[in-house]
Amino acid sequence: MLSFAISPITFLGKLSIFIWNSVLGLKRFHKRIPIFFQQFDFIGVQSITVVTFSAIFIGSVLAFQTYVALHYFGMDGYLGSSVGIALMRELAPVFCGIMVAGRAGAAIAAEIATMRVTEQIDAMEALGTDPHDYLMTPRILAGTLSLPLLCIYFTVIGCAAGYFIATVVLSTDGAVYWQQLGWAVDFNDVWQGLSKAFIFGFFLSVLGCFYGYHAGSNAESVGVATNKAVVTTALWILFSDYILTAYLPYDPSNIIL
Amino acid sequence: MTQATSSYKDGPAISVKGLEKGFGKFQIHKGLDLDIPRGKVTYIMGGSGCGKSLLLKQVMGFIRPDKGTIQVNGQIMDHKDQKNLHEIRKNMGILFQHGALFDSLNVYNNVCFSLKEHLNLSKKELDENVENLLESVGLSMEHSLKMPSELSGGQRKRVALARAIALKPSIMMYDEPTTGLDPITTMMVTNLIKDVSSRHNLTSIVISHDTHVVFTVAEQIAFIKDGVVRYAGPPKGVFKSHDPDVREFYSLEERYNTED
Ligand SMILES: Nc1ncnc2c1ncn2[C@@H]1O[C@H](COP(=O)(O)OP(=O)(O)OP(=O)(O)O)[C@@H](O)[C@H]1O
Ligand SMILES: [Mg+2]
Repeated sequence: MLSFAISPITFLGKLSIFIWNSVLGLKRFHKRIPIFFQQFDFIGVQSITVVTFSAIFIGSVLAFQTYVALHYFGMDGYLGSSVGIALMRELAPVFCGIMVAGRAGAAIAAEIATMRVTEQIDAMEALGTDPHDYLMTPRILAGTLSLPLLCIYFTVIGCAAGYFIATVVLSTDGAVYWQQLGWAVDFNDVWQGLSKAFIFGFFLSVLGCFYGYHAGSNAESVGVATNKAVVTTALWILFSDYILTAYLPYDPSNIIL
Repeated sequence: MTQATSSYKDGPAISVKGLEKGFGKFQIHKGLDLDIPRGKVTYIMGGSGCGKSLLLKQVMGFIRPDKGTIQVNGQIMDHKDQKNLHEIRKNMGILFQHGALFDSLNVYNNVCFSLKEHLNLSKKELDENVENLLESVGLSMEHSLKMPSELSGGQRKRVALARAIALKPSIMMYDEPTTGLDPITTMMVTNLIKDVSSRHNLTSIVISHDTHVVFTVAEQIAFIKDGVVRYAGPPKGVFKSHDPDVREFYSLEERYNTED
């Protein structure tokens, strides 16, 4: 287990093989559709509560803090656009990724690690079924596809919460808020947010499955696997968020670097 | 892929030759040779950590040996060839120590797991199969909707056995099927293994620590120590062995037998 930390190359090698085997699992995906929907429900639909609350608080705080800065320069009118862009491009994908990793990624790692410890994975292989196509492929697909949807939902709720703060608490003009938001948030922002969410969803489900699958065989292994899955996912999300923001040219006419 | 020779049915069901396996600096198997006779119940014994479970895992193809060959039904196992592994595994079933039932599936779906995966059976055929399988391990259909967590340890092993024999393997392996069970359940499970073996004409390999049980039901014994097989043959032969370790391991049983 320690070798994972010592040798990043072994780790990446193992991970690539794991991902490749899960891709090969798509061949039998037609048999796994019920499992896919079950996982989609678990990872996506059942995350709605936690995503709703995160979005309300993030949207509200964002409106407050941005207002402080904008008001200083007398640009209260730009509140809607600032909130919208920040949420769509950055906060929605990152927070969705981290919240869902904590909820579903951890649960996936724990479930699969438990199956490893109790020899259920060996039993599955002994019965002639590849655990990649039965367990991993549907989970990875469900995680990857549900995150962009959650990200859109997060943005909508966050903007609404920002609107509430802007009008009810800060008494700015509500019509201007939406007008500015609609004017500022364009296809590029949506595209950037969605592609990030897509990638973060992939990370959280792949890492959850991977650490579960490679769990050790004693009782602590489940805790260790869960812990590693969540911490690694969070770090990967933050790191790749930077890379994606800085180096991916979403808008060719607007490249700063 | 090595073709099965036409006469493989006369030879041993499993033949392990020169098996070597180590982890780091620990050498577990040091050139282990073992033939498992076809259609018999073979018990594998040996001290804890001598590599009994590891032997089964290599025979199943879960773990790759460092050296040596494993031949199943005349076919040499080749880890580079997934198809070959798959072919070989199709003929084998394994019962894990704790049953390893799928927690998320009920008894019915556990039992018919491999049937659903590999055959296209109608609902009615599945029902019939599950009923027969459960019946052959002494359970009724009333249990079929229960989840594994609602079963007792003994029932769980029965369900796991039913699941393992669903595809009619010719070789069944049992990793400590009776460890941790009370004496009555132990006897029940032991008899069940015997019944299932003779009913389906299986080659069975059982890992057990229970010398008394072994001497009552085993047709063949293999004793492993220090990475090699120190004794293989019928139970009676143990007492004639000149190997002091073999004699020591079975001395308790010898005393037990001479007292009555
Ligand atoms: N995957 C593995 N990685 C590292 N070491 C292993 C692995 N599997 C087995 N071993 C080592 O091999 C040795 C034999 O293990 P094995 O599980 O086969 O013992 P056993 O004979 O079944 O013992 P017991 O009767 O206690 O079940 C042990 O020392 C164990 O630590
Ligand atoms: Mg063992």
